[in-house]
Amino acid sequence: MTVVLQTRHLRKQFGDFVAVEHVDLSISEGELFGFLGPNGAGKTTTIGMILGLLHPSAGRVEILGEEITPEHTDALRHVGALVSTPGFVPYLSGRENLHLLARLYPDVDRGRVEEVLKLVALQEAAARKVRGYSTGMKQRLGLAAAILHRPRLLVLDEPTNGLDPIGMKEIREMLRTLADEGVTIFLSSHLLHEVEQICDRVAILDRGRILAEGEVSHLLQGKRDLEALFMAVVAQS
Amino acid sequence: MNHPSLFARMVDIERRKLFGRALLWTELVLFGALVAILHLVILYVSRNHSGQMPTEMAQRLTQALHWPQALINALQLANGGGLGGMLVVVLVGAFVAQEYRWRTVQLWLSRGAARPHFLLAKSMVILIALALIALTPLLVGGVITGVFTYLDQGTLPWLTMPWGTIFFDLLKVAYTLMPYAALTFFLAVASRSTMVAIGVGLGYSLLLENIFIQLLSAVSQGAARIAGYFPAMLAQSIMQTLNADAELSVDVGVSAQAHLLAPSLAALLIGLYTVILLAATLWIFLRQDISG
Repeated sequence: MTVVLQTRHLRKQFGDFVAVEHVDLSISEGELFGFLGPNGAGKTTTIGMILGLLHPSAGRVEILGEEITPEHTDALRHVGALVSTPGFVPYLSGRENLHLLARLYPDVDRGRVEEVLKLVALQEAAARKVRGYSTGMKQRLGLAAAILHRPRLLVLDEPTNGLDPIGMKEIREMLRTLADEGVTIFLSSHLLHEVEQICDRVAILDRGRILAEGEVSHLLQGKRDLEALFMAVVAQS
Repeated sequence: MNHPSLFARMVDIERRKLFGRALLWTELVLFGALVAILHLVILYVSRNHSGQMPTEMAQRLTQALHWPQALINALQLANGGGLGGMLVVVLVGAFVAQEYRWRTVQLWLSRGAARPHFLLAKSMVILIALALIALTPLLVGGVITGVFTYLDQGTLPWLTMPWGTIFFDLLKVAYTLMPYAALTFFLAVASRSTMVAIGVGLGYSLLLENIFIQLLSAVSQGAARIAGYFPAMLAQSIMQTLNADAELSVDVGVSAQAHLLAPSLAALLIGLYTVILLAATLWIFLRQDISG
């Protein structure tokens, strides 16, 4: 099966502080991969390197076999990303922001913009300026932007931030559907129950290092649930 | 089907972002209003008080309000060492630095937009903004003095107007704005802060530059020559080529003692300053970690 995302000995150091150390990941096409860790574990830093926003201190990131660095970002055209609270042009409406993004992709037309707005249930608010959006609405718009160009890899950092339980369920179902359609999903989340429900494999990161990685069913052997596993692994570290 | 290149699409995106900004249009409207007030005041003085002036001065003032001289005079209001420079600093500071605060830099770069392309696309669109800033006094001043010329002469000299020269002068004025745009661009990327970019940019263009020029001009002839290398003085050197009889030109308080360089050298230095500042901006941007 095609490896969509691979990191090798990935390391990031800010001054004396090592934020990420020896992160090795390999994620195949159609996988829904959970990336777990407490606050400050290095999840967002790892995602920053995957998306070419941060310079790795060592190691490399490959997407579909192409190396990604801040200088080489061509393969990112196959990636959709939602990082923390997504940023948008505040004086434009949600729809206008998506139209602007769609300009980057020749194959994305106005019909597709309406399609993704409907998918994230944002059609009614699409004409409003983004500066008036709630956190949950920005999150929905961020998801719409991430899937707009039908990416092969989705990198999502806390995608259900600010969403109500119904919204979280809708997003969970949407991610599962996308994975079933062959989209590879790299999901960073604090919500262990959510990750346990939808992910095929997970990695647990703490203090910049991967402490456990494998299929959810395999890792859960002898453990009550993912939360118990997570607590045990983090406590050991 | 042929699609425009990614870079061309990025330029289009930046253009849409710029034209969607209320700040751009607010600046242009305010600038236009200021130009209109200035022209109306001078018209009033010319109509009602010219009798109290020496004949030669009254004639020059009237001539300065007639086409084509009036159009060239109006253009000079936008020069880099004056009001135009201030407007550019505010616009470019907001246009570039706010992308960091809004986290939209991450949005574009995480989609495969190459960093040099991102900066270049922004730079190209800023050139359009410079042209609009230079065009505003020409249009507003042109309409007011056009009406005055028509009322006074019963016709407008459309056919004998030096349109080519006026267009070339428009480009020259926009060109004098470039070092201020490049300086603010640099400050915005280096600091990632709108406040710093606009504050330091305005501090330089309104205060520091003039203080340095005045001081250098006061020290000695040799020091005054150095003052001639500041962007405001380079702009003055180029403005000289527009027309020596610029009655409406806005002087930035630059001492007459300071030496102006030859216009061709001034143009070369303006280009050089701009390229150096843009290269420094690119160097920093390529090394920046764009984090959350």
